[in-house]
Amino acid sequence: MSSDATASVLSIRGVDYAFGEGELRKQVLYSVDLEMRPGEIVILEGPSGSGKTTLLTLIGGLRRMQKGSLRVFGEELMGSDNRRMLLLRRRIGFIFQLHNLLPFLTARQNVELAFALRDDVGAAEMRRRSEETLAAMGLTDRIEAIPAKLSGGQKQRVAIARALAPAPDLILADEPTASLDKQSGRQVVDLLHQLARSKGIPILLVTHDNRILDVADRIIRMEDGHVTCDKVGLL
Amino acid sequence: MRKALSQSSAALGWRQLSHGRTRMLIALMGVSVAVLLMLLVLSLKETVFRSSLQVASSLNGDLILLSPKTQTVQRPARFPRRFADRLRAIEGVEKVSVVYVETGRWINPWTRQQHNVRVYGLELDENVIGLDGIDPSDPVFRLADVALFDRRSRPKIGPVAAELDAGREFSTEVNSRRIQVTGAVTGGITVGIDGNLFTTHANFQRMFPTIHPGAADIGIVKLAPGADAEQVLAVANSMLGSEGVVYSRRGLLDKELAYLRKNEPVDFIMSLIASVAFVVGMIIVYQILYTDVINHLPQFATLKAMGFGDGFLLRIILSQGLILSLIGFWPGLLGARILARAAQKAISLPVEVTPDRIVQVMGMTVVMCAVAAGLAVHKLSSADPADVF
Repeated sequence: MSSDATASVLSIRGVDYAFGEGELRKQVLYSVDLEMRPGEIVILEGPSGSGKTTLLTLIGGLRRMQKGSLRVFGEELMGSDNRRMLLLRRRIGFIFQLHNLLPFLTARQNVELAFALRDDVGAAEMRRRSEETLAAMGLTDRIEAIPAKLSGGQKQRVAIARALAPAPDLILADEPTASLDKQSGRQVVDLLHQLARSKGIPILLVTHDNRILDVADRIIRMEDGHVTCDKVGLL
Repeated sequence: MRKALSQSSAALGWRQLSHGRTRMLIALMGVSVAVLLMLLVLSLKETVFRSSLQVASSLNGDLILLSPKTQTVQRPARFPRRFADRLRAIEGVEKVSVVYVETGRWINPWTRQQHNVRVYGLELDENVIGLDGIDPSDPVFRLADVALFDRRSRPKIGPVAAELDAGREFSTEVNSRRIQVTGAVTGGITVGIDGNLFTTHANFQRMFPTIHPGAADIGIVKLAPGADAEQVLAVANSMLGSEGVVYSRRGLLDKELAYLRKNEPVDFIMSLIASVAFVVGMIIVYQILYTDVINHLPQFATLKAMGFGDGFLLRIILSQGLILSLIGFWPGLLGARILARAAQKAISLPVEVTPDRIVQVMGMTVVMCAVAAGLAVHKLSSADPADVF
């Protein structure tokens, strides 16, 4: 790991991205620049179709770069191959709009699955850390429940525990409150915020839910594929 | 580092399968029915083949002489008996004896019903048919109007073997002659025949007086020790020209198999049923696994996003296929065994689910489920982690 990695979690320079080809080509990102420092919680907001999610999938190594430079933990993703993108993804915790928990595994097993790709964590420790994280999410008595027995908010909290438990180097969250009502949405974001803070994990959170903007250190606004505003948080 | 068991792809596969209990049961039923059909039909096919080859394989000679008109040794065409004498002139030939074969009308004395039995006329003192219980040197064999009875004859022609085993004498009417059955041998019957009788040339003539003794059905050649079978075969065939054909034992079995494959629809039909069972089983398993993949597409995409490779997801689905084949096999085997027993009673031919067949069908089942899983996995590639966001 280069010393770059500690200096900057994320470094984006001049990223363009377009869907489709020829006549149907539609550009969604225009020379995007963005920087994220360790431990920083950044909210990416903007209307739908502004390119937030596309940017997030590029950062997460879920899409191939087309133009520009994108470094995550100091690793350049422009021209990266599938294998390296896969390895990069293992260092990132993903939180999606929908929880996407495996319905046939209990909450604990779903969280434990996030450790399956890590060779350095044994079965006992994996279990301990999963239960700890679930407890921190307020799910102590729901640890052995399958997703069908959990409420929407509880499921999303399990999903957050899954992303957080292996202590990733970065968390990417896309509209984690979209499927939740106001109260549980707030609760989920607060828990995410607290846990990430206590472990110093940087978060990049895409949302257009303006009720949760206050958790951010910095808010970046996107419109029509351009970063239009990059300001320090409201706190 | 030891991992929790719940994280192997096989364990995830099992959990996913058993989570949808109804679906798993349907898939298992599909596998079991396919296994049952494949096992039963292939066992029946083997039964038919084996019993059809019974005559050919029990002929106790180094070379076999037949008429060129003979399609199968089960129903031989006649040739002039003097051909046998001509073969005796060839160097290396020790003995040539002939067998007469004809279908006789047997009356079951219990039911007064008539049945078709095949009657074999054997030369005295010549051990030409290698079946358990035939001893042509037995003095009883020299009596007039006696015959040996095949234990494997269909029960509907009468419980003859049971009578003999109980020490009682048994006689009945064959071709309007009273024939005494003096013993039982273990042979085997074929499709279209209800029983076998073995007797001497002289008794055969008594039962079939219209058949000229100069027209024989099967010639059985025994070679002198050290004779070159290939060479004798070549000389014999060139000597007989187009009027008679001599086969080696292997050659005769090949000819019989070729005949069966070509002429007995049973081979084709059985193979067809087995193939259909294979395909139907595969479709059912595929359908179940495919809907499972479709229903869990976002979850699989999430796993991909988390950094699980395609190989891991592939193994989850493949292990489901293997689990289905390994569990579904046993009820199928049990069912096939029960039905085989029923079939054995119905057709009076030994229908056995042999270990060979079990191994073969187990292999087919694993392939069936693996192919189904492989097809279902194909859909996984459309689980694009970028779409989960």
